[in-house]
Amino acid sequence: MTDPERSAPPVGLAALRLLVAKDLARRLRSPLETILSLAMPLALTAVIGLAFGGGGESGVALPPIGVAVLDHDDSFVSHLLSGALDGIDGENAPVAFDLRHVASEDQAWRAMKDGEVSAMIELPAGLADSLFEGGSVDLGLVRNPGERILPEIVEQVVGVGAVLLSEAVTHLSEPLERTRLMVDSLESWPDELTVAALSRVWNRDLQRFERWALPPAVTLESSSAEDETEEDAALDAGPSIDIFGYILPGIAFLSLLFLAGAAHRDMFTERSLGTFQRVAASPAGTAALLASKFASATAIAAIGLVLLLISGSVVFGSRWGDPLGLALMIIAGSFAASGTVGVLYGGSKTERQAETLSPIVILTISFVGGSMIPLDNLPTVAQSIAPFTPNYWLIEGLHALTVESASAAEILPQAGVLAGFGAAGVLVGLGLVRRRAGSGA
Amino acid sequence: MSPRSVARLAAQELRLVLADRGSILWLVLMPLIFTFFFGSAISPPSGAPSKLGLGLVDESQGPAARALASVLEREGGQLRLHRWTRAERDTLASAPPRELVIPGDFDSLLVAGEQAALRLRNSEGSNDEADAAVAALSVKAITRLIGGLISADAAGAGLVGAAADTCAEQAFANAFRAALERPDRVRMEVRVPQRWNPLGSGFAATAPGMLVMFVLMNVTIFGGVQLAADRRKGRLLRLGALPVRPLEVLFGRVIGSVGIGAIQVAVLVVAGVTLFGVDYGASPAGVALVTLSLSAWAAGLGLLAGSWLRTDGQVAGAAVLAVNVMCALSGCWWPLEVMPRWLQDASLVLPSRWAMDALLGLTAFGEGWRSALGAVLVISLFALGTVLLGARGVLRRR
Repeated sequence: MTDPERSAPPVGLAALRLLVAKDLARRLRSPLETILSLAMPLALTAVIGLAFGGGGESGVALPPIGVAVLDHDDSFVSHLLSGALDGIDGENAPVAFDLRHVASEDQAWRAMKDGEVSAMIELPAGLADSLFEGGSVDLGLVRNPGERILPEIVEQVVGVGAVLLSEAVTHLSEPLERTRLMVDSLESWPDELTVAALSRVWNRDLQRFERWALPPAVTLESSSAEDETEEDAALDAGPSIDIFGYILPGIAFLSLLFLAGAAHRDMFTERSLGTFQRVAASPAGTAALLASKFASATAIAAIGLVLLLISGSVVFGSRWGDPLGLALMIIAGSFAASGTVGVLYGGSKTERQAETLSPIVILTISFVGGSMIPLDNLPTVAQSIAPFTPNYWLIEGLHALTVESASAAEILPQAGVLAGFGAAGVLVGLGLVRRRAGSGA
Repeated sequence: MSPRSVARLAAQELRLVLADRGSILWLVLMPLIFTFFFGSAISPPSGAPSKLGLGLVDESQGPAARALASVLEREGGQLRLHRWTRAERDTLASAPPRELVIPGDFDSLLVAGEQAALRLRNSEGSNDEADAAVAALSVKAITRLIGGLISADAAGAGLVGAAADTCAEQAFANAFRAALERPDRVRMEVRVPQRWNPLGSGFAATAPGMLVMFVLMNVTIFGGVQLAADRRKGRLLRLGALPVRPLEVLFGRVIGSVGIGAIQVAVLVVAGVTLFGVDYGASPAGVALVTLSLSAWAAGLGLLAGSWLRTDGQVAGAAVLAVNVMCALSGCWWPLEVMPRWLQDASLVLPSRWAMDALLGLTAFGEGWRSALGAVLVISLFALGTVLLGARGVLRRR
């Protein structure tokens, strides 16, 4: 005889639990797709972190910028200018130049094509004479056409240098001109009077120069809102910001959306295999079955996000802040991912339609929400649409925990919006599936 | 091996892909959406004429502060300057993208011969490249201010006297203006050699990367998914009963996949030229050679994925993972020059990097098809290797 209690068919929450456990067990039996989905954000985070100077130091570090110098003048002054450019070595400036002298334009073009040089500076013939005689000089700059960022930096640095040089030769024009005249008319060593007169002129102009320029009377202190946030976080002795920890949340949520999609896809598989109809006819009922798909997708997304964050800590050394706040973001974010994708799958008539539409929608909201490119770098239109995507709120919440050392209470707004996305998705998705089931589609 | 059989099988592969409306979305809609997204994301300011916004908060209201403001106003070609007093600034509802604050003690410090600091503050979300450009313009403005102060001293109308009375202040302003209007003795002239077509910003900068990424992604996924499905459903074994040789089947698949790549290239190039105004250079033959060899390599990757993996999800997941990582390292997503040199050198083991270099040569440097032959040879050798490996896998795991 069997125990009547044991053989009673599960209903309500018990049925839901059973159905979710079944979905998770199935995914565990064939984990490759899930592993690949989780590997992608880790691999991309590693690549982006390495590409932008990660690997221990926070922030973005540019490599030394290759600059070719074509010196047509080959004079003491042009050598002095080359030396000044060579002195930009990253210690006295935010960038470092890796200078190389070239004999011809072709040599510079080849170096540009090989990616060794970002720009060529051309020092024109007659440069020294013009500067000493009170004339003007055009420094040539050719940017590597295949590069975008480094040539821009070189142009800005050389532009500043040109203004500095221009002001210097303007205010020292008289002593420069007199020095040239003296050197040109030199047949023997100059007498003391000539040297003294020249020295007086240099002294007079340098004194005027010194008052304002040595050291500069005006300096520039740059700061950004982000710097201040980081400083505040550092002062609070909270978790440090690192480039990997900054990137991972966005890409991780993109991956969660795909993971949740794979879980919702089961609905179509179960329909085609007939298990959907069988469970629907059982005491568990259609409601439990449909709800189980959303719950399974949430659970799979949550497990995925936990694994990604743990991997982020182990592989990249990232720290995620207040554990309670983090738990809140994981639950709310996973629920939002499940609800968002649930609407797409619930609204699709066929698996193919869902498989075609969902990546387009997922990638679009992920782009606009800041998962693929940091929101700061997106056009203003995208930035204004971003708050309508769940990606935005998960990234905001995790950044608040890590960068601003926010507490669980402080990230409640972000978690609340994510939960709202999830709840709305579940309601709309379930409604769509039920309507289609009712119409027999 | 019969070329006719191979051609028929290749045509069948293409028909299967094109008959599916979903694949049209992947071949047409997704690449265009992504080109638009990435192109929009790196639009101006770099290389574009749009002006850089800067708020100037003058807390000093002295003659030196006014002189600095006049220097910045001269940069009207590049800057969109808003001048505020501290009180006016505090009434603004939102912070400007970036603001330069002239502190209240600016003039008094300068008159006393002490160093004064301007504060440049970028607000959260401001564009990094625009911030850097404004910082450079601010340094130039400071240099010109110092130059003007020296000139005013030389003219006997220095700042120290200007603080004393209105007449002296007017004399200082006049001397400073005269110094500012003096032509620069050293200028920088940016020139672009003939035939060159600098990437600049926006769609032109992202087009070659998107071309490489979508050719790789779609050819690998379509080829791999189709092959995995054929293995799963036993269609490969059934083909063995037909009068076609296994090699003909494999070649048919590879050529069909290259055909998909050709369609992808045509879609992106035509849309790039007509919708986004992208210039693919003067050598269509060069672009065709590079992208076709890339398609052949992707066809080999598809064979590998389809012979090793079983489900569509596994093939798509592996392809998306591999292609995204390779493309990121090859300069498809961001300019390669920002990566550390060791990573740039390491990426030379990827055919996608060779393809990017060759496409940049053809587009940005305006070179002819011969310049791409080295890269085409390298990519083709990779293609041969992967096709042979893939074919071995298919024949073993039918």
